[in-house]
Amino acid sequence: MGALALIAAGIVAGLGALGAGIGNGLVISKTVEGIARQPEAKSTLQTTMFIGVGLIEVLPIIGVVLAFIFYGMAQ
Amino acid sequence: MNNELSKYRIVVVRVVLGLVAFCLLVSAALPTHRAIAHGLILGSIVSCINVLHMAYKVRQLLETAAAAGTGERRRKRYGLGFGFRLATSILAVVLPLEFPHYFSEIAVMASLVFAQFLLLILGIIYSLKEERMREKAKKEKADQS
Repeated sequence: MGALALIAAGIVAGLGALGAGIGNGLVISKTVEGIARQPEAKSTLQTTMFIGVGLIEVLPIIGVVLAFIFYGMAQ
Repeated sequence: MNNELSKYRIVVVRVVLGLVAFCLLVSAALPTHRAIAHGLILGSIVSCINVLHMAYKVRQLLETAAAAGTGERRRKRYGLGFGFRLATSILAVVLPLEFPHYFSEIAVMASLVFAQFLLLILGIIYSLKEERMREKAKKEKADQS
């Protein structure tokens, strides 16, 4: 149980971070590109990025919290 | 700060404060469910702090990007501050693990993402409102012509 819980913690934190990293990179690159093309749309793009990054970051936060709980169970 | 972003921030803070007030009432009225109410308070406040920090960081990052586009040189690099948000979330989860009688672990975990999902709902509501206003303006223009 202990070893499996540690493996689960590693997988959940690692894959969550990987997905969030790719997602955040795509969102930020497209927003910066959009602002470079249309500086007058900065306000709208900023708000869209704010919502997008918020939703993307939910997954790794929950993943790391779960990993922490699994780690506690394994001890 | 940006008008549209500050509009979201204000609504998120108001809703979270409303939830905290409601949970305090529940905590006072129903002592048997006190741990759940305390967990919801803790999680929603941490979630609100995360969202406010994220708004600050997003604004900072895009201002740097816009300044670089105009040719202004700023050498400092900015991240999105994910480490800070992760650390506050872990701190919020450690508290119910240490004091299970005061905070419910499930309630903290569920409310840690409250403000982020609230942002999504607010985004949908505001975009629907804008669309309605645009359609109204179009109709008025057509009526005038």
